[in-house]
Amino acid sequence: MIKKIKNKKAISPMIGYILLISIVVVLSLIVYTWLKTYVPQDSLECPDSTSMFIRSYEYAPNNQLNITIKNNGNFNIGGYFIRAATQSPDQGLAATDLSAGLVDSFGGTNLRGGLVIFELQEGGNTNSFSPNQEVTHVFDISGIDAIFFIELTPIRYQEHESIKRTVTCGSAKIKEEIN
Amino acid sequence: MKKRGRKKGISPVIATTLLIAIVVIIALILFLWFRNILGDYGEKFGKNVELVCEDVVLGASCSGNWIYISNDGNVPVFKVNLKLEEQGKYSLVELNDVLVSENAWPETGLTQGQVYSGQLDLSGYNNPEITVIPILMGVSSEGGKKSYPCEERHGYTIY
Repeated sequence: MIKKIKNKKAISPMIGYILLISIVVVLSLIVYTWLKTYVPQDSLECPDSTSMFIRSYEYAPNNQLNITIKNNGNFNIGGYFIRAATQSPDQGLAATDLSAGLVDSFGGTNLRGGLVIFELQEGGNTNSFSPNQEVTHVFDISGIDAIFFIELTPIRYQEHESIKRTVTCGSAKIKEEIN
Repeated sequence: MKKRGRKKGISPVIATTLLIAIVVIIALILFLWFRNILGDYGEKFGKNVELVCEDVVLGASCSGNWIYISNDGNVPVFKVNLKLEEQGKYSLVELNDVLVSENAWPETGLTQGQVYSGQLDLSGYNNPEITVIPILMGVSSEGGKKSYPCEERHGYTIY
């Protein structure tokens, strides 16, 4: 005769449930953390109607180039990258950085990385160049033999995930031929 | 018939614990295997590098044997590959391998707003179509820095 089975207690159903749920939660967290990196997030972009253009330019004495810029968009702008094509009119992209030659006594500030901003402010720079505003910046171009065209790429300061970031407005890049 | 006394199995608690442990280990093995199948694309800015490649905005042009590359977006480009294509010939090279000038690609990469210009040695090619394909620096799943070439569709073709 088979011996009577005694004391064959399983774990309590409550502990079983708790264990199952904890395992499911832990595994879900692992999978979520991994899959999260595959989910597209908002990328850093300037608003669509951010725009500025070179209203006029003028060669001035002492190897200076005066450039008047106007904000013809709907949003404030913080600054711009400025480059000149100095090798050939066919080079397609301007590669010579002009920001180092900015004569800041006439306005503007040259920041590192080839960036010219409209107004340097303590406690963080802002987008100080408002729509319809005009400004003339002066650049020292001594050492440059010829300029075929100039390219300006505006930038804006924008909050992204609670951090103020410099955002390049690549779609608002402008090109102006210089004679 | 022989008496079946003292034939005790393992305790139910141990059995349950063992079962759960085995399930967890198998789940982890499957997870790691599946992740390897998808490939280690690493992360940049908390996003999968493959997604960050979508945000790269490059401009490029050629004049003679000079190449000009601008970073018009907000993602730093660590390096670039060039796909050189002409009739009956195709190759993928890193930019630094076909440069003749001392204008080496910046060590820190091409940050936002920067423009690079350099002279190419394309001997052996007859006016090839050039596609500039970005390489990004990301953080690998092991935690170290690693460069990740973007796919060709994220490149900029110079016609």
